[in-house]
Amino acid sequence: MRAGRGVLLTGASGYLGSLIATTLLLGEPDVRILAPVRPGHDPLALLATLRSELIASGAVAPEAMLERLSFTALPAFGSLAALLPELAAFGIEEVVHCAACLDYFDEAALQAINVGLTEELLALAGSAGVRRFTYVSTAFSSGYVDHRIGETLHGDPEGDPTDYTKTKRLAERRVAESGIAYLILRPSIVIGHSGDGRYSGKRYGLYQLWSGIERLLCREWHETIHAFAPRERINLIHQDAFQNAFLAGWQQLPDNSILNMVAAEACAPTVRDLWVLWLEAVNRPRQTVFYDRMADIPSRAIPPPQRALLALASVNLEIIGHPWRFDRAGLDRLIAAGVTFPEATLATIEICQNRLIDQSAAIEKFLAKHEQRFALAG
Amino acid sequence: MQNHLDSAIELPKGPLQRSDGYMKLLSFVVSNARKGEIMAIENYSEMVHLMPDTDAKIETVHQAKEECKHILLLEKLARRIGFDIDDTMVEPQWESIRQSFHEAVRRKDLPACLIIQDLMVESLAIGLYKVFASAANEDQETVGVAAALLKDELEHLDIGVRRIQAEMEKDADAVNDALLWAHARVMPALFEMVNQSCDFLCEEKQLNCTMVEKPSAEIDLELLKITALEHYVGMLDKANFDPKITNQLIASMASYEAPGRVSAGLEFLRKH
Repeated sequence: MRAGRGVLLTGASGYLGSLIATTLLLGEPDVRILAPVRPGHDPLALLATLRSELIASGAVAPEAMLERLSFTALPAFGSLAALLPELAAFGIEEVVHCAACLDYFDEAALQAINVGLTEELLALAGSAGVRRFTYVSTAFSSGYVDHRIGETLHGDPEGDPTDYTKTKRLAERRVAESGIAYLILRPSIVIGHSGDGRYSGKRYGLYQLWSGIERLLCREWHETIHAFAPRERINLIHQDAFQNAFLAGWQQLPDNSILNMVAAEACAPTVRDLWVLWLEAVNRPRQTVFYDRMADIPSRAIPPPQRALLALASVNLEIIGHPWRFDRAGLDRLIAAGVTFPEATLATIEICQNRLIDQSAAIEKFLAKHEQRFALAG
Repeated sequence: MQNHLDSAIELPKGPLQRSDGYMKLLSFVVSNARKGEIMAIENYSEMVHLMPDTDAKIETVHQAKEECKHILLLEKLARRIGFDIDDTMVEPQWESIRQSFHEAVRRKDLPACLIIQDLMVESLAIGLYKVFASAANEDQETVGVAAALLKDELEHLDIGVRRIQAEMEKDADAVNDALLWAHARVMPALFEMVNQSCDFLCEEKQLNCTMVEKPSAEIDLELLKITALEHYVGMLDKANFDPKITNQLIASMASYEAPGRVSAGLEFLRKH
């Protein structure tokens, strides 16, 4: 049981956590993972997700790999110390902390989970004598700043898009101040696999917009579509790029490193490019009116489904419409050393988009209903 | 009153064969709609004393009376078609929504009362009745009842919007505060109720609603949610709330309005 290195992985039931779990199982044959899961999360469902991701990644013996993964119940907040004997028995040497609250507007939950849980885990890690604490943060933890975002701890910004970024920044500081060797990873918006477009995350980021269009704008054909589509480049990274960069950073970076896991600006499409890509594939309106600023949209005058979509996606659209500029010296060094990091280009994003379109009954129905109209329009 | 109601809506007889699954689905939907109408009576009745003048008090009592009519119509539909009104199918979230309304009354917060009952709950009711009243629905008896209820609920929504606009002219800040307070308490419960319906029917009633043979493909929970959401957003705009505020509120629904993973390319993970 004790052979190999023990890693405590939080958030394994989430999208990034499950990607990290499969990455470690595939890329670190001597690693064993202990994953605490909250009540209500079904370990069997989580195993199914991981198994499918392992198979899709080309694993020949996924069951043997999954034997290196164990689940344990996550104690209530304030009682995490109860895990200490289990950590000792499992031989935990490292912590990868990926659990987070992404509910932008639940201030109490953001504070409790993103900051409070991190503090408690750091205390647990300290008691357990853990060698290194890896914290999965976000590229946007800087908040709104008017300078390039470096790979250092952030100061206080002029403002935050939401309390999510604020609490992630506070958690980074707690990690850095803990006295435990750390690695802070800051991925931007993670989308599906660059090769086949598979994606098993929630409807966040770009998928919130795509799913919103699918649900709201694919019941009827809209002759004119009003889109908030700033010409800013959108920072997306593919899940396989995230996995490769995670593994390389985890294996190679020195202690107390911070890594911005972001796209190369030159390759990144604009928000407008993404709207055009989708609208040409699915909605095909006669006219599209693009807006650079949310405030310019005549929201009371546009059709109700478009109004509802605008509201649902408003916060994420405002965030991605901000001119974020990142340093990525650390990632560039890893790439120079041989790490494969497929950039999210319009072509690879189209693969992810098509994957979503292909599995959507609503879009299939919409396209069939309007086949003649679209054929006539050429 | 019963005789008056009988003559108010003519229910056409139809030869439609209803599947067992569809009858179970109707039982679930109508049991919950009836519970919502009972809550509406309680809410309107409790709100009367907050109304600013006699005309408004009378109008509110009239609204409560119309909700009584809706209950009787739903019960009549159940008897006529032959499904049960089943209290074990009623979702628990109705109680928390009722409690939030009661709390608004206790605070003498008329804008919050109007927002909860006339914007939020009515938007869900309108979403539900629109789905069942759609032209694609071949169950004409259900269509007739749903259309009649929809007409009344749209009138209630208009009355609510007019009243909120009046309150907004008196004190816009207080109405905006009431919206923030009410949205955080009621909208998660309303959408949780819809989202959990599918699981409840599968797990407790062994009814996979995606597999049920229905008289309209448009009878589905997703369309209900979307229709209710569109109405809610539209009515917030019509009531003159600032889009900067309402956009944030609607965006906050992302965490509970459409939960679950996408699983594109990993289709076998999907529940249905």
